[in-house]
Amino acid sequence: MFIVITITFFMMRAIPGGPFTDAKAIPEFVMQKMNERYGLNDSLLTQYGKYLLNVLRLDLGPSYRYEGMSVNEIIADSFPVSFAVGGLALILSLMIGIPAGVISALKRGRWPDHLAMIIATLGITIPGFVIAALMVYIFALQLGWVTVGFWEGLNTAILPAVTLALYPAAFISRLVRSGMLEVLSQDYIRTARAKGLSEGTVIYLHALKNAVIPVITYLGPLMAGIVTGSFVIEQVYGVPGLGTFFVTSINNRDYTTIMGVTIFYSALLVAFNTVTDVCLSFADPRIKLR
Amino acid sequence: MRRIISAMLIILWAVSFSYADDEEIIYNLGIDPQTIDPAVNFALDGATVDLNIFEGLLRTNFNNRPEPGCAESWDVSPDGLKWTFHLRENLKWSDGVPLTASHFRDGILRLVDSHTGSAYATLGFFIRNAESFYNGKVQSADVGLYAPDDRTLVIELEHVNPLMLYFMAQPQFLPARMDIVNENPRGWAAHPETTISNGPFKLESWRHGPGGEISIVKNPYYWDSDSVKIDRVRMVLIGDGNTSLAAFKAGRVDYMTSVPSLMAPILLKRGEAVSEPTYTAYFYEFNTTRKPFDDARVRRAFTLAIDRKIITDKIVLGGNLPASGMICPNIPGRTDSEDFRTEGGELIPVSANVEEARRLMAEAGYPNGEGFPEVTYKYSSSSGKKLIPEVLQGMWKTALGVKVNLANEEWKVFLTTRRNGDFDMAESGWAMDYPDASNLLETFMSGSQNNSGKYSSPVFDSLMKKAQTESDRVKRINYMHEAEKILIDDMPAAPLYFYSAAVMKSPRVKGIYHSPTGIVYFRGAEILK
Repeated sequence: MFIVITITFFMMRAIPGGPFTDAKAIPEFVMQKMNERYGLNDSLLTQYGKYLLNVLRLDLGPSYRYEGMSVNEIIADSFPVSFAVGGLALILSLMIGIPAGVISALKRGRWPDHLAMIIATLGITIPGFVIAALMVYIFALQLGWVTVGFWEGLNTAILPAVTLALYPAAFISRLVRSGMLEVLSQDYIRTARAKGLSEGTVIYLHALKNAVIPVITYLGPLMAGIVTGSFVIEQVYGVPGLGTFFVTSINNRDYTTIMGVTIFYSALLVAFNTVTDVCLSFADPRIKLR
Repeated sequence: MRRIISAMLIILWAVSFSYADDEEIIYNLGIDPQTIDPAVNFALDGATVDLNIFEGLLRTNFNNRPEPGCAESWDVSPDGLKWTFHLRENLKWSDGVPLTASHFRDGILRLVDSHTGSAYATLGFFIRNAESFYNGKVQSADVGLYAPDDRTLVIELEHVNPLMLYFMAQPQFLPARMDIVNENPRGWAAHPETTISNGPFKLESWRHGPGGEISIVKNPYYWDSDSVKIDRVRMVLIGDGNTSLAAFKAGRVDYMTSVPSLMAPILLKRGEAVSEPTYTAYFYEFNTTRKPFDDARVRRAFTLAIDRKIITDKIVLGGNLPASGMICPNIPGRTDSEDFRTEGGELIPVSANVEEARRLMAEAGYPNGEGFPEVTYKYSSSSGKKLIPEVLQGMWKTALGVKVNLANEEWKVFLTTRRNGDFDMAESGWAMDYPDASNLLETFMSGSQNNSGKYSSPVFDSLMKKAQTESDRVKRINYMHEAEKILIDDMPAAPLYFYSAAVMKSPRVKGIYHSPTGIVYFRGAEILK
C-alpha cells in the first residue's frame, strides 16, 4: 500500500498542469494565493508527508475539484452506487456464465455449444460502449422502458448491470466450459457415474465443484474491478458511481481524489484477493492456507 | 430463474411510467460545477447555477444587457468615480433574513480578499484600494465599498469603469452572508442547508457526478417571485452528449445546449435543434517571439491561406460563423443598437486569399515555401475538434508549400505548454464574459496572462488603455475598432470562426433564456399546459 501511495503521489505530480489550470489564465499572483489556500505551495516532500499522516488517520483530504467535499465523502457517496450496480452485474454474470459453460461442455460440439460460444465470443469482443449504446437505443429510445442519464435508484441500475455483466459472463462461461471438459474426463467422475449416481448429482455436485476453481481465481480481481464502477458505463447511463472519478480526477488534476480512489481500489483488490484465496483453500484442498 | 425474469420485467414496467413531473423543467447542465460559491467559482457551469439562485445589484435581461436587479436605481458622480446604488425595499434572503447593502459590500469584499482564493479577484481591482487590500497593504475598511444605510451601497473607483453596470450583473459581484460563510468558508456552498441565496431560485439538493443533479426551487422571498412561473429546475449532470440526446428524445430532458457535435448538423437540418450564436471565438495563436512567426508577414500569410468558410461549412458544421475579424457579431458598437462587427466590417476575407498569402511569404524570404523551417501546430484532442488541425495542415501545404507538424496533447498538459509559450502555433479561443469588445481585445495586451504568443505592440496597448478608462462611448468604441485593426494587421492570432451552440428545447417549455455567454436563465421560464 505504501509503495502504491508513493508511486501514485509522485507520478501524479509529475504531470504538467494543476487543479486550477484553466483555459482562461489566472494571474500568477492570484494562482499563488489559490495554491496557498489548498496547501499546494509547500514543498512536494512536505505535502507527501502531510498526506501520509492524513491517510493513517483515514482522512483522504479535501477534493480540489469539488469545493467543500472531502474525498471520503465522494467515496462514501459513489461507492454504494457502484457496489449495487457491480454486485448486480456480478450475480448476473455468474447466473449466465456458469450454466452457459456447463451446457456447452455437456453438449460439446453440438448446436447449444456453438451458440453459447458464439455469444461468449461476441460478449468478449464487442466493447462495452457499443453494447451500451445499443441497449440505450433499444430500451430507452425505441421501447421507452427505461430512463438513461438519470439515477433513480435500483430501477436505473438494470441496464448498466446487464451491460457490465456481459464480458465477465462470457469469460466465466469459457472458463467453466474448459474446466468442465477437463473434469468430466477424470476418473472420479467415471467412478461417480459407475456408482449409479444421477447425472445431475454427478454434474452439479462432483464435476462443477472442481470446474469452478478457475472462476473463483478470476472472481477476486473481477469483484474489485466491477464494484468500483466503469467510467464508460457510468457516463453512458448516467450512473453516479466511483468509476467516473478514476478518470475525471486525473483530467482535473484533483490530486487528493486521484490518491483516494487509487488507495481505495488497492485496498479492495487486496481484500478481495485474500477472500478469493480463502475460498480457494476450501474449494481445492490441494491449496493450503499458511 | 423464471421468478427473477418476471421481477425484472415488473421493475422495467414500473420504470416506464415514472415520467417527469409537470411542475418542473429538466435542463442538462452537463458538467458538475467545481463550486457555486460566487466569489470562488470561475466556470460557466457554476455561474449558471449562481445566476439562477443569486442576484446582484443588476441582473441580465433577456437581451443580455444589464437591468435593475436588487438595486432599483443608481447615481453616478460627474467624474464617474463614485457610484451610489439604491436597493429595493424589503429585500430578503431565501431564509427570510433581510438583505442589506452591507451584504453586497461583504460579497464584493470577498472577491478581492486574497484569503478567498478567487480566480477572478482582479476583476474587482477597479474599485478603490481593492488591489492594495488584496496585497495586504490596506485594511478592508479602506476599500471603496460603503454601506451608509441598509438600502444604499456606495462604490468608489480607482478609475472610470465604462462597464460598471455590466460588472454589477456578473456572477462575481453577488451579495454574501458572512455569518454563514465564516462557519464553513470552503463548504458552505456545497450543501443546500447553508447555501442561502437571494435570487429567483434556491438550492434544494446537489448530487455529484454523472447521473447526479442540482435541483433548484422557487425562492418565495425573491422580490420578483410573482414573475417566476415554475416551481423547480432539475439541472441534471449528463456529461455524455449522446446520453443527453437519448434522454431528450425519451422526453426526460426539456432543454440542452450540449448536442453532440456530429449530430448537430443533422438535428439542425431537421429543425429539432436551433443554432444560437455565442460570444465564443476560435482562433490559433502564433508565437511572436520565435522564428519564423516573429515576422508579421508570415503570420498574415498563414492566416490568408486558410479558407474559413470551408472550415465552418464542411468541417465543424452546426451553424458556426466564419470569422471576419477578432470580435464576433452581436457585441454592441457605438450605440446599443449598433453592432461592433458590422461597424468594423470584414477585416479579413472569410475565403482564402492564396495569391496574397504567397506574395507575403515570398516577401518574407520564403518563395513557394522554400527555406521555410518545419513548424508545429499544437492542439488538444479533448476539445473534440480534431479535424480542424488536419484541414489547416492541408491548406498550408497546398497554398504555401510548407510542412506543418501536428502535436496533440492532453488538455491540461496543452494549457501548460501554451502558457509557457512552448509552441509555434497553438489552438486557442475565448468565450467572452460580457458583451464588450474589450473582454477579448485586452487579452492581447503586453503582459496579459492570456497572451500566450507574447504579442506586444505599444500602439495597441495605448489604444486599449485609453479604451479602459474612456467614458465617452463613441470614443471608446472607436479606440477599440482601431485596436482590432492593428491586431488584424499584426495577426498575433488567426481568427477561425465564431461558435454557435446547437440548442434543443422541448415544445412543452418556453421563456428559457440562453445568453450568448452560455448562461441559461430560468426566471422567465414557463411550462405550456
